[in-house]
Amino acid sequence: MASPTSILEFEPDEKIIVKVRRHWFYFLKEVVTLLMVLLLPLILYIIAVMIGVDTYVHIPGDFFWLWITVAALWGLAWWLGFFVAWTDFYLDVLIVTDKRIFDIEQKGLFFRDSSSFRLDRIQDISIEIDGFLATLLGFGHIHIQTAGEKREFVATFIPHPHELMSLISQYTDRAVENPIAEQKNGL
Amino acid sequence: MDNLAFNFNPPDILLVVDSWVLTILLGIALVIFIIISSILLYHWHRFAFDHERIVIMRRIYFFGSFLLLGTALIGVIMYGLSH
Repeated sequence: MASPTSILEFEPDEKIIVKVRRHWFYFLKEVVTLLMVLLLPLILYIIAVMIGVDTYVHIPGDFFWLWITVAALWGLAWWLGFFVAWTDFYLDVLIVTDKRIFDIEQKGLFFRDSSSFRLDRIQDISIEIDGFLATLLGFGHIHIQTAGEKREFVATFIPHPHELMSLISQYTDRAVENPIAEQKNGL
Repeated sequence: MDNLAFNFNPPDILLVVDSWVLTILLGIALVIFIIISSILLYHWHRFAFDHERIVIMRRIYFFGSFLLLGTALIGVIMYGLSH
């Protein structure tokens, strides 16, 4: 079976330090929106009963079973949407190795973006914790300035950003202190 | 001139919801379910890191999906029988 680590091209002696996904709050925002959509058949049912739907629509069978069918199909559409959203959330991963940072981003079902940069290219790391909920739940955005084409890298909704920043700084320092060994290992 | 709002008479039959309409809807839902499930399974198999979690989520996904499809099928049958 193909593993995602085999899709990413790691160097032979490269070690994965940590894999980070976005904070669950990021997913919760999408779920709340989806939950509002889920209530739509119930609202339509109430409206249909109130206006007397059988005046406008000829329903030869039992209206209850019609509603059950439509609600189940609507529920199925919602269920599929939920799992597509979950997959989108779950497959977004930030991987920190002792040499590089990989950023894999799933955008919908048909677009996948992955990028990487070496730790010794990092010039500056900063974090941004914006708002009450971010402070309370412990998530924030990490900004990484690099020397190269893509100068700024931003990872959003990262849980415990201080810890990740200090971990990245620690490995960046090692990479910068020992660039010859890093280059040798990189060949 | 009479106000249209007071003269509005709803039509006797605007739309007929027969059981075959629901059967077609169920068929379309089944096709969409198969397509999306195939795509999701491919992504989970190819790109996921934690396979234990994926196995759990896959079970939940198929359990919920078959439950809803089963409910819709029962709904279609019962609606057809209640004619």
